[in-house]
Amino acid sequence: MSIDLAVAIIMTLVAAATPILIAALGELVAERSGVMNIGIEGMMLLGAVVALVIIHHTGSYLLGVFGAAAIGAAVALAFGFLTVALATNQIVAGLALALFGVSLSVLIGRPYISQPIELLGPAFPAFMMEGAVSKAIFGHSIPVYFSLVAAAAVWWMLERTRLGTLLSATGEDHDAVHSIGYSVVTVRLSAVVFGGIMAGIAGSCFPLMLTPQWAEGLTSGRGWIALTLVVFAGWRPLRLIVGAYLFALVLTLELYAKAGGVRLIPSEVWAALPYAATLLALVIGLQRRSMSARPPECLGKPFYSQT
Amino acid sequence: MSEPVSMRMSGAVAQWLVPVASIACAALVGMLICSAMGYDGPTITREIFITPIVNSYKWPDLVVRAAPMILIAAGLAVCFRAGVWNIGAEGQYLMGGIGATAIAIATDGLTGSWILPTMMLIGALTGAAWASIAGWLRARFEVSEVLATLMLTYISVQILNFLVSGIWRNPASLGLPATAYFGPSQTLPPIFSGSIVHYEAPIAVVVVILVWVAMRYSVFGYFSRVVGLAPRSSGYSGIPSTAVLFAVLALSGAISGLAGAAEAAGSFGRLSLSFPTNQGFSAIVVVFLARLNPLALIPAGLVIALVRVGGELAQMRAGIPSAAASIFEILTLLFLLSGDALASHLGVILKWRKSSLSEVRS
Repeated sequence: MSIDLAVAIIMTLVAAATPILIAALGELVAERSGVMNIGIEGMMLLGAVVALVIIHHTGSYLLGVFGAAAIGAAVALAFGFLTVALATNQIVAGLALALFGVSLSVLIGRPYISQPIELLGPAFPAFMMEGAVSKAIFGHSIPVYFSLVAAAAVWWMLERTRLGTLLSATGEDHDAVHSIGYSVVTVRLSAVVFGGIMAGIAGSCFPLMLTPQWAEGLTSGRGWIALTLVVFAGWRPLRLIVGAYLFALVLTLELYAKAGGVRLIPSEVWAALPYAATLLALVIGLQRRSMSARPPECLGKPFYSQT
Repeated sequence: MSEPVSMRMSGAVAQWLVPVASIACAALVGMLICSAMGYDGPTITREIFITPIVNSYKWPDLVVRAAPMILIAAGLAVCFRAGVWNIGAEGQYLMGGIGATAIAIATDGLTGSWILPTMMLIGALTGAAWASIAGWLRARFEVSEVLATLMLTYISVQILNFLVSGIWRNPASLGLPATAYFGPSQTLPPIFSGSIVHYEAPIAVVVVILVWVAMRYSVFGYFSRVVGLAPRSSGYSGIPSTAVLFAVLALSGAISGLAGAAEAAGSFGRLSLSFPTNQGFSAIVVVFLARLNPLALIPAGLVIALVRVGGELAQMRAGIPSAAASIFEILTLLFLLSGDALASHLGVILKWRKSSLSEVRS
């Protein structure tokens, strides 16, 4: 294998991992607060289509990302209202949100199907990317670095700040948090909205750096995969990085196997592989479950205020 | 994750007002969304909700469309009552279609009245087996059935694509990869000659009644409801909750598989790339519209079939993508959920006021 091919594979892998990692980080924060939002796929698709439409009309990538974050936040707020404030079933509401996002994104994106935009270039100037190693480190676009910084920031917030303690405590024992005078609803709504913002930004990665034009179901199930990665990572943000890159490796292998003309294995097997791998990852993740890697005690449980 | 669907509020409000109001709200908001997207919202809404009702020639379509969703929903009602979140019924439905098609292809050219029942049976077994994978993953590895059934659905779509565009493909199917059409002995006949309504509809009615009886009068129905309402304490009272988990998943998988088999042998008459039509997801809307009550699945299924049939009319006349029609379905579900929650909150408030009033009186 030549150096060039190795670098190309790394570039593809890192790009593929980025939206999954960003979306999974948002979901992790929501789940640590006790809310499971299975609607990530819908929020990602809405983020992707909104970012694409904004970039198409204004040419501003930054506005595109803001728009994606805003639509993610808005939809997550609606989901949070249903599940946190009204205590409806999180799974059914999340599924409805996912399907809603898929359908609405089809409607919004329809006029933009064959209208490509220009993808975002590398984050660093060209002289920093000379040589294979430098290119593999500095050759990526901004979302890649954002995702890694975000992972570190989420880890720091959860493990090192009062806010993180409050968030985890809400996920572990909402009655206790309520009894010492914090608002469970406020904490959870904020966490869910953060998850929506991250899912929206994750969606915006597609028009930013992966696919220059709209196609129905553009995110091809990455939202579901981000959801399962949170379980695989044992609700720990830094392990999410490992999970996202492992998963991206599967996707990259698929891409190169197809391009390299590996005819031995039918394309459907490659297409099903990510989901089979995810199931396997779940089994492995839960097998080595230790005290540090168990779900938050109140995950999925509605909170009813006694007062 | 085993939180039951509590039907806290009772009476007319929850049973009738919330579903009817949800459909009305979905129609209104869906119309606004379509208009905002630059489509003709009022026309779309009229085509979806009015046209199929006022044109009696569309009624058989409603029955044909409702049958698979009612069937799948019957299995899901059992699952959801037991607090088991099988949201991958779509995958079990596809596997049922695949199982039945395998028999149809194996018996190609043969005749006999045993073939169709075998197809239905194998379809149901394939669906049950597919759902049992999720049951096994949950029982053995504590993998959430929500994630497992979803992932399995994605995998089943690829299995279908592989078979239909690969080894089962009829070389004559040029545009859309598909198997050859089944022979007469492998096809579900219409209930009377000339009708498009085939035997899936009566099968659905029978299954709904069986599920209703089983839920109401059998030990299995009792166990599954207890597990759903009180997952922890049911263990103390000696109810085998793992067995119940497997049983409800296998049952709903079997019924979804049966629906897939009946659709392949009935409405489609073959297996094709366009076989997945999200019936398994629509069935979830049907279950909630019916308040998890098996007998109410029949009217609820007809309502969602209305949205589907009407959605196709709107596609033809207003040029909307099929996604627009599904927005109406999803909005119905969202309004149902919020309506239930609001009704129960309202119920709490009313009860509280009543109790405080009685305190004042005494």
